[in-house]
Amino acid sequence: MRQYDYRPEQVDQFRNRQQQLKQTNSSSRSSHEIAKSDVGLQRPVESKKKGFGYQLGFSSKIYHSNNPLSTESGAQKVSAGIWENTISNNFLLGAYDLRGATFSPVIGLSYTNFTHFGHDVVKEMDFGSLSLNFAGIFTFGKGWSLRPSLGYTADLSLEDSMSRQYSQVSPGIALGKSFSIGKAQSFLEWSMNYTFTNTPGQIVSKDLLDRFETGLTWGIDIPFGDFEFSPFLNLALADYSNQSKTDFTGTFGLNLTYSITDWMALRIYSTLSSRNSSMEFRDFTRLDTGAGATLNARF
Amino acid sequence: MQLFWRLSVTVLLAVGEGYGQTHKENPTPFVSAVSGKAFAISKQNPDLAPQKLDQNDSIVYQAPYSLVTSKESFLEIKHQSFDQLYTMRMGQSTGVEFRENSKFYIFQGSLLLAGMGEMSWSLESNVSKAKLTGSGTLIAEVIPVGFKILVLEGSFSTLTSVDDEPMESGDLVLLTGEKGKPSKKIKIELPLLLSTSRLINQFPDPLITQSRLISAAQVQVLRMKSKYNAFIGGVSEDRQLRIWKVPSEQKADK
Repeated sequence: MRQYDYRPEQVDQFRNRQQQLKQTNSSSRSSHEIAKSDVGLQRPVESKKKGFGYQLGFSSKIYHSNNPLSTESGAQKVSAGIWENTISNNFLLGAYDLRGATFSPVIGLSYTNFTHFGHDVVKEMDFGSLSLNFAGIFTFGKGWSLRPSLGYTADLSLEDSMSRQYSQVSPGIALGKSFSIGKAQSFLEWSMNYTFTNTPGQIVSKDLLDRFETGLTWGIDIPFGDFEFSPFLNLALADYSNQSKTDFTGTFGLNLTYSITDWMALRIYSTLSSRNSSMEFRDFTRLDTGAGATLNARF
Repeated sequence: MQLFWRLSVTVLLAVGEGYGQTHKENPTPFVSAVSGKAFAISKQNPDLAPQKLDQNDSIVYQAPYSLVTSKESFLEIKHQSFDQLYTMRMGQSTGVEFRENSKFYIFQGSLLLAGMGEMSWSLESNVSKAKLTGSGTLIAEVIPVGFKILVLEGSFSTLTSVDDEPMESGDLVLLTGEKGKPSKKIKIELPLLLSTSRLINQFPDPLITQSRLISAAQVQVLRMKSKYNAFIGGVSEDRQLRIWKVPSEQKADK
């Protein structure tokens, strides 16, 4: 049985959102290479009336995990391969000037298919994960942002007619700060959310995975030529409501992305995750290393 | 006892009225930033020597008076029109006659006006006259046929005709002719304008509307469809806006 409360795709979803709004974080006061004038350079542009936008993305990645079931030890701690295919849709519902702040509501809908291979223990663990996320992103001067959000995720069994194995609803809020270091763009985000869960198969009546989570994510995107090197670190603390359990999870990742075109990129990456739980037999360490490709179309 | 209360109320009312009157008065404009040489020249008493302006100087002359900047000189004035505090920045070699409150006769050059609340600006040059009402930050440049207006943030109406749509952030409009007839609006790339304008960047302190400038630029970036391979220059003698095409080897989006 895998750990439903460890969501490795969380950081990818966070990065997708960051990518979509990345361009807004650049400072308007930075000096420009082109000659200055009293009035300033006037370049005509064409812009949308409200800023509605749509992004369709597909990503495929294949990776090796030394612990795909995220267990501490025993017969289920095996090495295996995972092939992950994601189709994502992001709807930017406009960009609004609040005079001193901007507001951008974003709806994200994605489906990820996890296929396991390489060991008998993991062969029946294949599942699909459907996510719907609504976020309202407020950005302020000097790179500050505030992001209230509401997310729904359902894990569906591929072996059992797409029946729901687990689902969660997470209202949350995050405070972020982005800053430039030379050409690199760094970000820091502190988030808080409460996760209401439902696991149809569990024996006890209470939803044992209901939890309050708070996390700190730091990342930096360092571009060089067509490449971008993006290390990140996520530290999260989860306190469970219906059981006496507190978990501390740390995730450190390294990504190297090569952009072939504006809409196609290849990447190699490695992610190290570790959980320290107040409950016995819940700790784990997991190392995922792999490669993938991403296609993105914006409208 | 009744007399005591009557006296107390009378004193309070008198103090309140006095306070209100004090704050209704327009305080003297003062120089909040200056680089290079800038002068104030009295029009009421032309015999007076021009007042060289330094940081924190108050403009001692009664309106009308002129403010002038030399080459490679910039000036920032803070003033209050009715209840609204506003900032006026003047570019190089600019001459402005300050008539009253927010009425300016611009001889030449460019100026930036920034206010947090609703205001009316009257601009006049030797060929054109225009009245702008709204709130926000704008740049006005004197051109041979009138004014070039760039709205950096906020919204302004020209009041020339009821059909005129308000000018929004990022709009470039030419106001031409005696009545300041507005031309068709052209959207301008705000992040580029903000990072290259000396009226924004040549001064030590940010404008009071700085956070609004940034949010207007951020929203424009999110709404952007494409950028043209061109830059807008001055206006030709036959009243045509000069547009300079950027060579195709430079980074282009359209």
